[in-house]
Amino acid sequence: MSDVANDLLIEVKNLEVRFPIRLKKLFRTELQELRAVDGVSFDIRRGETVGLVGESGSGKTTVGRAILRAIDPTAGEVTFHCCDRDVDLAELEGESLREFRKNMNMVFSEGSHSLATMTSDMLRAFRPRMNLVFQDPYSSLNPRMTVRDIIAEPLIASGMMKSRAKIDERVREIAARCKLNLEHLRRFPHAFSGGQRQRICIARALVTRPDFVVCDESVSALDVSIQAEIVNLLKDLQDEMGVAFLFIAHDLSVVAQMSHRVAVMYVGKFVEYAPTASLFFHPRHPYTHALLSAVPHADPDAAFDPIRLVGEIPNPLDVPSGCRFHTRCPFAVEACRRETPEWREIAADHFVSCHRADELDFSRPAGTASRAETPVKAQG
Amino acid sequence: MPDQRPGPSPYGAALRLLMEPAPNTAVTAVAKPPTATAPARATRPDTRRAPAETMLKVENLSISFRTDEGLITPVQGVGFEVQAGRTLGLVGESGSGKSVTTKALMKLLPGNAAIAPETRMHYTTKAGAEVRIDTLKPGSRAARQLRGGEIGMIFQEPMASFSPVYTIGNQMMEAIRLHKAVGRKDARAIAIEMLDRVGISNPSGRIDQYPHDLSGGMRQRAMIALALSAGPRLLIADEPTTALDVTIQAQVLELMRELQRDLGMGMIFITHDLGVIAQIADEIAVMYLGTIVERGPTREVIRDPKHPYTQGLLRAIPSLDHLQDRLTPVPGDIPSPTERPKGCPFHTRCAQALVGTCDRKPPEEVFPSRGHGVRCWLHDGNGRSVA
Ligand SMILES: Nc1ncnc2c1ncn2[C@@H]1O[C@H](COP(=O)(O)OP(=O)(O)O)[C@@H](O)[C@H]1O
Ligand SMILES: Nc1ncnc2c1ncn2[C@@H]1O[C@H](COP(=O)(O)OP(=O)(O)O)[C@@H](O)[C@H]1O
Ligand code: SF4
Ligand code: SF4
Ligand SMILES: [Mg+2]
Ligand SMILES: [Mg+2]
Repeated sequence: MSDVANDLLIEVKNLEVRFPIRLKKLFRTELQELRAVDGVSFDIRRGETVGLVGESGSGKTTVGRAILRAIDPTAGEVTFHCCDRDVDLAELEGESLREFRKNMNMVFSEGSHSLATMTSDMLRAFRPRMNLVFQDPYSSLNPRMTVRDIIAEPLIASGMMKSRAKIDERVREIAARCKLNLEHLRRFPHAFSGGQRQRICIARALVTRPDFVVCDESVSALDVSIQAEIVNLLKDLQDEMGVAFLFIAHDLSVVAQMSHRVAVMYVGKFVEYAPTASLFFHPRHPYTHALLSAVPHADPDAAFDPIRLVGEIPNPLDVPSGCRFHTRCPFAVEACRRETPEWREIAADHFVSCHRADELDFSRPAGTASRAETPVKAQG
Repeated sequence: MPDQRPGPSPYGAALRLLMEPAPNTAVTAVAKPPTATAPARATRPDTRRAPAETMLKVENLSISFRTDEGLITPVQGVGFEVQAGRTLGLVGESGSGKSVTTKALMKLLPGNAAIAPETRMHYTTKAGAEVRIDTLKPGSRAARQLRGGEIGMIFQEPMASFSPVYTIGNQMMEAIRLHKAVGRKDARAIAIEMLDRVGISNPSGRIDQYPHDLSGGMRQRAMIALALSAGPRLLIADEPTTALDVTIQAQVLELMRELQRDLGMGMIFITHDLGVIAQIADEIAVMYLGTIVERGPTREVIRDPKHPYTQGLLRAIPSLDHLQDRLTPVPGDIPSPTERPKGCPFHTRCAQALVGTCDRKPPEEVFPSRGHGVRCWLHDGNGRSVA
């Protein structure tokens, strides 16, 4: 890759999302803040898949939705590098933002317009560049719409295409790429199997030819064989269209196959972010190590000796001081209780936040990484 | 820093009491023995040396449903055995008939279902009595006694087991007292011990909470405690860890192995995760479209799969040890239950299908090696590959 900086697509800096929570106490309700995402910084390159793993409740979905501006970040910056101008998505507001939410698409500027001041009419002229594939292919498809209309919806909602013939052409093109049977476009979603429905969801997310798509647990509910098909499909589409994915999943093996880089989240913070092979074969954070040890291998002779973490995942309303993993970390020392470890680059492209990362070596002996680490370059 | 949780410990006095056959004597003490020498962690029990005592034998199980599209038979000619103290892993894609099979064992099939007359389901109770499950009436007293007290069940969704309106303790105590003649106080003591055993901290406080007060992982463990509080001899676990995070899944798997070792329970563990199966099961049965296409000792089936479908499934799983460019799905789609293929059910997707044979006649089960059965025309009864 020639110039990495030019390949940056999304930069996230100190992203915070807090939810107001009403706690019912005996005679009053108390308002508290739940820090779902508590200062997350990372970037995503063009045509790259970034995997995001972590236990449920760690904040993965919230990160994805905040980047798409489907929910409001409380603080921080999300910059979308496009063509000749960078746009701060966190500054988008008012009518234009409502418009985005309605379409569940993220629209951004290609020219010299400032997104903060754009009217909805102007916005419609711009290309939807971000999208979301949901986890559940059953509930996310409107049962009363034909597959053709479901896939076409983002095109129409964004006003990006008006001519019916053009829309049909685009729908058929993306449906074919997603290996959907074109004869079936007039059918309703209930006639399709789980794997087929997920293809419909993917076609819909990609019909506007976005630069970035969030896949939130998109393959988690599928059987292994169908899961393998969808993973291959997403990789093919990425090669062909140069789209970048934020691939959220709690299944580490799928994330390993799918991603160029992987981030590990714990109670609202990233604890490690590294190229896939580094993260899986040379993890530096005790939590990453513990997660990996808990994955059962389909080999009856492979040692299965999961690291036992003491206690439960902390309540996000009551986050531990210092390193928030210290209540469960087998390597915690006194300093971990008091000082928050800084987020630092411990090796090229390998970020971690742990006081003891330099001394700890969790390298796994096995492992062949036959896959290229660099993502494909986007076309045009 | 080692685990600081007090359990798991070798007490289980109450648990063992539950496992005793009825009629039972009153509980006198459920006090914990000292926990100082708690065993480190459960290792895979070496059941191979233990004398295999068959507690469940299913032969020729076929289940049909009357539906709007006509009669479908999503389970056809299924046979398997479960031994005391051992785990049978049932794997297969969704819709392959795993849940329906176990519902037949529990007498929980819906009204539009029928079991074929040639079906035989033999079960041996705690007291050593032979029961023909296939002849039991679904709503009968005998069927109710079988459920819970003899055969316990845990599900993917814990709220399928719990009622939201009663406390966890009340529900556990009811289950205990349904199958054991103990007073409320003793039942409560057993329930607390059980919650402690499954790794729930502060069990004497948690026992009075409602199911929705617990986190997902804890609710799952509480459900295991509930199923075990009836002291079943056979536990059917239907995707119990599918919805859990890997860390909690690992805890639950470890817990189930420990409990099985301590209680000598037989287990049917349903999952579509071959990694989980490899770690928990002694034997595997692979289901495809309602038929067991391959079964045998876990190590053999995973190391040396004989059936093209088993081979395909194993190739399709992503590995943490090798980063690949592409995954290898089983080609084609699962046929719908109304369009079950003639002959070998897998022939529409099988790269090795023999035209004229596989699409005409269903293969009989043959045994390439002892205890390792396969239904595929590529294998003959002498363990040779035919093709
Ligand atoms: N709309 C919301 N209101 C209040 N709390 C929320 C909301 N959405 C998520 N949360 C909380 O934020 C935390 C992170 O949630 P989420 O991003 O969904 O985690 P994940 O996707 O990793 O499971 C959780 O504690 C969750 O309960
Ligand atoms: N109540 C029912 N009525 C009609 N058909 C049913 C019913 N329950 C299950 N089936 C059929 O049985 C098949 C197997 O279902 P199930 O045992 O739940 O599969 P699995 O647990 O392997 O995912 C389903 O594909 C469906 O066709
Ligand atoms: S900073 Fe301390 S507590 Fe946190 S992960 Fe590192 S060693 Fe463990
Ligand atoms: S019987 Fe024929 S179609 Fe079926 S698995 Fe064997 S070779 Fe394939
Ligand atoms: Mg989520
Ligand atoms: Mg099922």
